[in-house]
Amino acid sequence: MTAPTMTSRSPTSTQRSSPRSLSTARSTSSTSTAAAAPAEDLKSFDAEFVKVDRATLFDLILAANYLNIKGLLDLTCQTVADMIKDNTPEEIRKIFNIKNDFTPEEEAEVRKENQWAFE
Amino acid sequence: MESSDDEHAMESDTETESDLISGLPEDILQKILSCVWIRTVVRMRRVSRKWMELCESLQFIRLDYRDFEHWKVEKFTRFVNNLLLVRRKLDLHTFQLHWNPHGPLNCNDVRMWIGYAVKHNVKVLDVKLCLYDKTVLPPAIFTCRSLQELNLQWGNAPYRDYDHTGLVLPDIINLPSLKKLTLRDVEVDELSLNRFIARSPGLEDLNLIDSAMRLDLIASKALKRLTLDGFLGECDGFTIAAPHLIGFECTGCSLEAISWRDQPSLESARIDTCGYSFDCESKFTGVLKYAKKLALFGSDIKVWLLKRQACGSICCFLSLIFLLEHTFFYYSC
Repeated sequence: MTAPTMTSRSPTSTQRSSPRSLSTARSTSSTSTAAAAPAEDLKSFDAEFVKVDRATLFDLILAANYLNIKGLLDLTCQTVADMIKDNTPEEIRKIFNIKNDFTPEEEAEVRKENQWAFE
Repeated sequence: MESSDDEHAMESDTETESDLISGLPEDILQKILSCVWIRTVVRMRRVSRKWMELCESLQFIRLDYRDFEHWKVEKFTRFVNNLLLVRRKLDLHTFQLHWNPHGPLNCNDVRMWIGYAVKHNVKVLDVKLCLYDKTVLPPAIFTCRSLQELNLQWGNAPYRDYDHTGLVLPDIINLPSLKKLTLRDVEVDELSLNRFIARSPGLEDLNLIDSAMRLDLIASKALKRLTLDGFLGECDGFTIAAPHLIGFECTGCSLEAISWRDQPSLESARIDTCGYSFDCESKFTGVLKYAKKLALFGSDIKVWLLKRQACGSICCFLSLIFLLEHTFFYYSC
């Protein structure tokens, strides 16, 4: 079974995760349409399925998007959203290694604006 | 809080580019943001320049009163106004507002927000309020060419209006992109229903909750799912002519009241009737023959099924003799 070609910043990680994502995604999508499987089993299957490192999780998102597997895309996006949760911007940067490219003045400006407009 | 922290993952993150999330396609990032609490989304403007752009281009606005507990209405109103002001000049996919009974919103603000959504070619408009100050719904909603899904549940007509029980639709209804419509406590009579159907060739999902009023004929070639949950006024009888219907739910009218034309073959049906007798030949047999999910309750269902069983035409109903009045019977393949 060959993985579909898709653009990725990290070919190694794509090759690592694609066979898993393809075969398991097929079973996920077929399981989710079958009425037979109990809801709790599916829920715990889903929860276990996304217990992966971040790189794999993002590759799963890309795979689900490319293969148009809605259930998997919903699940993986919700998982990332749950990682964001209600964290502060500093915590979010830390979780995802996002570089802060604002100058200190710019960031202070945005912080003031947020406090005035949304708090 | 991080997800599974195995050593290998930590190593590979520092070896390759660290920030994997910001490089995901924009539509996926918007999808992720649509699942994030909106109060966090606005804070995320501060994360980086890219995230500022993303948050200000938010495609899915979801406002639920439970996310704003203990906020005064004025504070919430300011939040929403500023959210829309900060938003960049581009189309909006979803505007969802669910507001609770305690502390009603100012309806002028609600109309402004809906106006914003409509002007930005909104596709999904989902607004639940407990109170509205006018009888007629905002006309701008019903001429929004981009609208694909509309869900309005705004409570009954204002107390001072003695002519109407439900809210009233405007005269001009033109929603060419509409696929799914849900209305609660809105007076939908034959004329308005036909306006929807005639101008919305792709309307597949129709849900009228305590809204259907003196309907005679529901005719649509596109309709796939129909829910009639409660009626305004007496239900004298109506005909459904929807050959592609696969799902049907009906609560609050007698079985005799429902007739079928261009018989569809339903995959699922849920019927909760309120009649006491059923004397006519049923056209329901053909309609329900291939149903995979069937939920029937009410006393006239018992009468009908006992009659059919005698003819042996529905072999899957075996133990109906023992059905008690108002017993719920659920059958599923």
